[in-house]
Amino acid sequence: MSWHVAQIGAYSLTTPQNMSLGQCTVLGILLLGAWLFSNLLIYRRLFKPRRYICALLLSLNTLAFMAFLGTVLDTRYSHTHTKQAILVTSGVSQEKLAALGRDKSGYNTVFTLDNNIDLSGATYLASPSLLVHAMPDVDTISVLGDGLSSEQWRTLLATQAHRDGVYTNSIAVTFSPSIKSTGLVDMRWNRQITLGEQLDITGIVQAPTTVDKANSHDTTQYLLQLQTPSGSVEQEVHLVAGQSFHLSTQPKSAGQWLYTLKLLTLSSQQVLEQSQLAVSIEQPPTLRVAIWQSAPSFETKHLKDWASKTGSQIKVVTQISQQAYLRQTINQAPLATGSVAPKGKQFFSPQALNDSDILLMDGRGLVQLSVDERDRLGEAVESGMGLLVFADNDLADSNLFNGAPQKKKLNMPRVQVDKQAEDELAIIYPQRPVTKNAKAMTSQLLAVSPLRFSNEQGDVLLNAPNQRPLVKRIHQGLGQVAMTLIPRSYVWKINDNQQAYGRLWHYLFKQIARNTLHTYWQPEKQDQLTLLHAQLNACLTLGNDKFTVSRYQAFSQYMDNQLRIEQPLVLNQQPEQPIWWCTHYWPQTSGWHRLYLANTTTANQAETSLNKPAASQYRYVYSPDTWPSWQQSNKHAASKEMAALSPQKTSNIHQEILHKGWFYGLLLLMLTLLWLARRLL
Amino acid sequence: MKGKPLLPAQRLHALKRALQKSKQRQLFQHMLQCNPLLFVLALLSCLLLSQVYSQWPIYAQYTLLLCAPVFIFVLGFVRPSYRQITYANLAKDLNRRFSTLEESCALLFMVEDNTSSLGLTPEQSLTSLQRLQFNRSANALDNLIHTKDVDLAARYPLKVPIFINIATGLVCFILWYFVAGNPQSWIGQSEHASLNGQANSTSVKADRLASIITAQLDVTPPPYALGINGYTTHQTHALDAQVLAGSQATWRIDLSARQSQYSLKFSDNDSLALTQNADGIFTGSKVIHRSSVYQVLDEKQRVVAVHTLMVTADEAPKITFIAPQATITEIPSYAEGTKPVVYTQALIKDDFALGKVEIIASVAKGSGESVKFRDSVFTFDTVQSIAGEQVYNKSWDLVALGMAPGDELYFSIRAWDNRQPDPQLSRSSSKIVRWLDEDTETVFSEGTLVDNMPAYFKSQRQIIIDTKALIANEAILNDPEFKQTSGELGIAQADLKHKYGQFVGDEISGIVHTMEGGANTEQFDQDNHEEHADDEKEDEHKEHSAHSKPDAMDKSGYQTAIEQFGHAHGETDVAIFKTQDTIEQNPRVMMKRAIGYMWQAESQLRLNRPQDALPHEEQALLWLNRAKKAERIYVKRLGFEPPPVSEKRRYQGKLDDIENNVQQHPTVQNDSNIQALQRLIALLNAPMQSTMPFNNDELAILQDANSRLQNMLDEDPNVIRILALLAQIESAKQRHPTSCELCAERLQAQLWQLLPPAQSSPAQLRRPYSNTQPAIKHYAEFLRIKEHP
Repeated sequence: MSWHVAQIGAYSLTTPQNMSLGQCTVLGILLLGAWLFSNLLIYRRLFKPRRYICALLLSLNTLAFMAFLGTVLDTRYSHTHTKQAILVTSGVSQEKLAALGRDKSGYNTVFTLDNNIDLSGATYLASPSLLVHAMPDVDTISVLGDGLSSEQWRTLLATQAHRDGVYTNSIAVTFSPSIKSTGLVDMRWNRQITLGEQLDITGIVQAPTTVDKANSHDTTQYLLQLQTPSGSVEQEVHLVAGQSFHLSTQPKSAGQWLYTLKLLTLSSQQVLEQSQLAVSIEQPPTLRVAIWQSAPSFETKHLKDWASKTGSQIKVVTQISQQAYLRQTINQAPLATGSVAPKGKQFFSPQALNDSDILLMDGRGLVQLSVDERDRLGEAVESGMGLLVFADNDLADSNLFNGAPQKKKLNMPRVQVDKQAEDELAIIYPQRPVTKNAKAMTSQLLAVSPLRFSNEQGDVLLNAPNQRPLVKRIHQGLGQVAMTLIPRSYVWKINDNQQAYGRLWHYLFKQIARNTLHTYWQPEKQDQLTLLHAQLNACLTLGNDKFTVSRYQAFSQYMDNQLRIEQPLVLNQQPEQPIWWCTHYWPQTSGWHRLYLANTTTANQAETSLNKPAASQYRYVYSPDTWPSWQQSNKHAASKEMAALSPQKTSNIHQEILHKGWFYGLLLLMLTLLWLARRLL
Repeated sequence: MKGKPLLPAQRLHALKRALQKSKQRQLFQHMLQCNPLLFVLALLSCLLLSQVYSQWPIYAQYTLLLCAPVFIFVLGFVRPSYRQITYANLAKDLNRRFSTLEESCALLFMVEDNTSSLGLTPEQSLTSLQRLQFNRSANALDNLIHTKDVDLAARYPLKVPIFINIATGLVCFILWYFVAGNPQSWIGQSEHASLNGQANSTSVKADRLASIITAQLDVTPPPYALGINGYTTHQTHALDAQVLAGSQATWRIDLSARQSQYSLKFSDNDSLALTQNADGIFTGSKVIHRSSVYQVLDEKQRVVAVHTLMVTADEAPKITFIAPQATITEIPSYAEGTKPVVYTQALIKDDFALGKVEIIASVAKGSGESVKFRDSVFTFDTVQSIAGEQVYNKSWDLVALGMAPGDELYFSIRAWDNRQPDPQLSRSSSKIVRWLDEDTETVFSEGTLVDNMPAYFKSQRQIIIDTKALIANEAILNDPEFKQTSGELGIAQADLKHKYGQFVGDEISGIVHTMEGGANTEQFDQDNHEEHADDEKEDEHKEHSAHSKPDAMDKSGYQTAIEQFGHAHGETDVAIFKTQDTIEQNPRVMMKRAIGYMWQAESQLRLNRPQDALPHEEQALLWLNRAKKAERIYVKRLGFEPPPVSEKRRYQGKLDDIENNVQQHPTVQNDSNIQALQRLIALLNAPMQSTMPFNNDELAILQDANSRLQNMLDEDPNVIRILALLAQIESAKQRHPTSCELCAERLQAQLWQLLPPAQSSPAQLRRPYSNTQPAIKHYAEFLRIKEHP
């Protein structure tokens, strides 16, 4: 606390800090009294005999007194201006750099994040968060070039200095973006997929003139190539600036692969950008499938063959006669000697249903179940099991939809017989984009039963090009009941179209089967670009209550100069989602990183369980020079948003305390002159 | 102790002996002092000379080690300390050591000198005082000589030299033991210090892998291929070569280490030992029959190099019929004066040369159970060379063959090439020549003999004609007329589609009758078909019912009988078995395709788009005609549509033998080539194990993949490149061998191209919540209560 003594223009005198009013008053009186008394003595002694000397000595005395005051009191100089920090990032043009060099304003300080920018007088910052430390009273940050990413903005503003004890976001931000580079932006692709799934890649081609595709006069044609990990060109597409693209491919093998997107100009074949898409393809976990059918069927036979080839555990019960049933188990341990297999018409036990992820039934088989068996089935569905029913005339004519007596009603889509509905149609996946001018080829048609869904209940999993629903699903409890009108999808399989067949049933199983009970790492966001030294966040989802996180340790593993490094990670439970445990770290090397859980606490022991971790996921860390256009686009967007949200440009009053050394020097000089005068006179 | 006085000569002799002894001692001390130098010299010669300058022979080192001591010994005589050993110095030494001599020992030597040189007696050469002193000294010297414990010779200290010798010896021994015992470190330094990289001599202890300096592969193709397609004798290739099957390959390899033994190991586990010629070149020869990867191994079975041999197989002859093109050629019954003659022309070619060409023919006479076949072998009449290709011609005179109307001739061509020792045989497809009878021209369709050309075969053509006319008149007709005409054409097309549908077994709407129910008396539904003139509903494709009358379809009562007594077994598969490089042969499938095109045409016609319908109509006609002319004539009968099984009749009959059954398949084996290659590629791809050597399980995967790729080599010769890369990785037992750092990446790329797209498999959705979460359980309970209040 200091007291304001006097104000002379832009200068103000204040008492020293932490001095009470009484002390200041006493001191002032003493100093003033000393000055007056000394002046009086000088006047008395010298006024009559030597007036000029007297005047000189009085002046010296007064100057000495003022100098003494200057040493005791604080002299502040107030001025109003804007202290601007100019942050130069990569991509800034030469003209702007030259303009910076000509700027002689003393209140602007130039910083740079890029060591390669040739700018004299600029201060290099290793991180944007150091800017506020370097310039605590900055009023405005003017960003030139590509800008900062959202994470960089976050760290910069988080380190903002307190002003007068109050934390405020009062820094104004202006942004002068660099010229857009030609390349790929807004990229999205699924980073972690299972073997057999499609890899979908979307993005936009950006060019310097891209503002709005409709208004763009840029007619330059570009060629975009998708190259497989082997280097061969998988797909090619011709694009113009601002045009979006969608590429799709099916990886051939599990593992960690790098696809390449290459953008060239169509005319000169000049490579404009070549970036890598990292994809981790995992082996799909096995599924537990149960089949209950009232008669042998080619459809279930082919389904069983298809599912068993990948290791799925299958149990099939087929009625082969009035009282005789054939029970088959595939990819399961054989029954122990002495145990008795169910005989006759004995529906799956509750334990068997709970051990199944999906149950396939024909309509007639469902109708023939007793009330208790249907109730058992309903309970299993409510606890999470999926049920897929092959609709047939028996089901449509039954009274299951009309309130058949049962405790737990099986909620399923209603069907009715419609002889006109028999047809051969192509199928469309509702979630996948239909390409323009797509025509259903004969080989992709499937026969459809003479049945029709009779109400709007449920959501559509598959439909025909004429929007007729072919497979519908209704949620019941934790599970779902689906019904299909496609009786002979195996035609695709035997007509040399195994790909379409597999894709169809992969999709249906995924939509209907029980939710997975495995603990897994959540997949990366499709539009996320993990860069070197940037924070990497990962979350674990626990599959069931039996998984105790405390018995496991999370590690990240990566290669650094031919050495494998294991780094332990700390998992934190998320309060809003108790089954989510999240961790983060800052990768120090680019390339593949592996996150895994091990039932141990040390990395060395974890290494022994390298091949059998509890949950494992691969992620790719890109080096900072990859995806240049995409990074630029993200930085532009983040910086523009920050500039829009920041307060207006302000000018603040800044006070500087004048250095007291001058006053000390003046005081010394005056005292010296006074002493000389004393001696001479 | 006092003894007899010695004679002067004796006295002198004793002094001489003492002098010599002194010299000996001094030499001994000199050698001890110089011995450490000998130790160091020996150490240096052992380590440096023998290892750096390896050309130095052993005896030179020994010579050096022997000459050094001799030189040092000779040096001892020149040494000043040795030359100072004189009588005078000896006298001084004696005077200093023995006080009884009273510093007069030199006097004794002087008297002796005078006596020996001048012949003077002591009384003559000495003064009286000297004489007196001489006597006293002589007596003292005599006493010293007589005293056994007294040593007149000078003494030289040996403790320090001995100690230095011991210390130096120990140090040199230690250095020699630890350094000479690990010569490689010295070799590494010495190799850096050497000015030129020279070949290892036999004295090099390090086991350095040899390298190929020059190599050459001489290939001589089999004799039958010489002079054809550019194949000549002794063609020179690189070690990675592509040769003709059966060629003789001769290797000539110059290796850096010629003292070792080398061999070639092929991927089929065959081995070829290389022999060294007088000029040091290693040679070997082998006849190559199949593609393989081969390795050059040294005597320790280490891989020096890996190369590939790709074999170009001699292809079998190719036979292409120019005439007749169709499989069945029908010769109409001839009128008088015209001869039934069939011309056959075929293009037969081989990559080298043809051997024998012949025609195998069979004549079938008669019908029913009395059909007789007669086989014969024919040759072509003429061979023409057209544009460098051989065209074979034959004309068949059916009468000359003994055929009559109603008979058939089947023939095919067989051709051998000139490959030795086993020529390859190719056989063409069979052609049928059918000499028709006079009265009936029949159409065979699916095994059912149809006497007359059905009218509906013409209807499709009529529809096309009418559609073209409609398109042409579009400008003339007004809108309602145009739409009505288009609609009527659509109806006609629908009628035709339904009629054909019956023949391929499509279920017709409205037929639901069982055997118990008797013959079908139901009429088909007469639904009104809706017009699609409304623009808002143009995009919908509504189902339309068959509105044709059933009576027209079952003229002979055939269908009725089937409905009454037969029973349906359900739809059968429609499998497409396409033969390579040929068109579809299954008439049922062709009919289905034609019906599919009819669907498309009908929909377009009903949408008043005749121009879009016309291509589909033409395709439908095309496929109808193909079905008519289909090659497979012995197929399932069409038109048989048994009624469906009723529940009452299901599972009837004797059921005693049908029992409950349990089948268990613990593991479905699906060990295909594709899975083996996928395991291999996953093994190579592991990013966290790139520096780890392979364990036993991983080596087993490599070997399994290797054997499978060997089997695939015959089908795809390009697999040889994959095998070469795999061989390098397998031999090094690590992903990145030092000789091929990028082998793993290149192998992965090759395997990726070889693999087909992965098959989808059953999967579960990974929802971000768990069924066991309390919130989810409560929500599920809420839903249940809401559904079932």
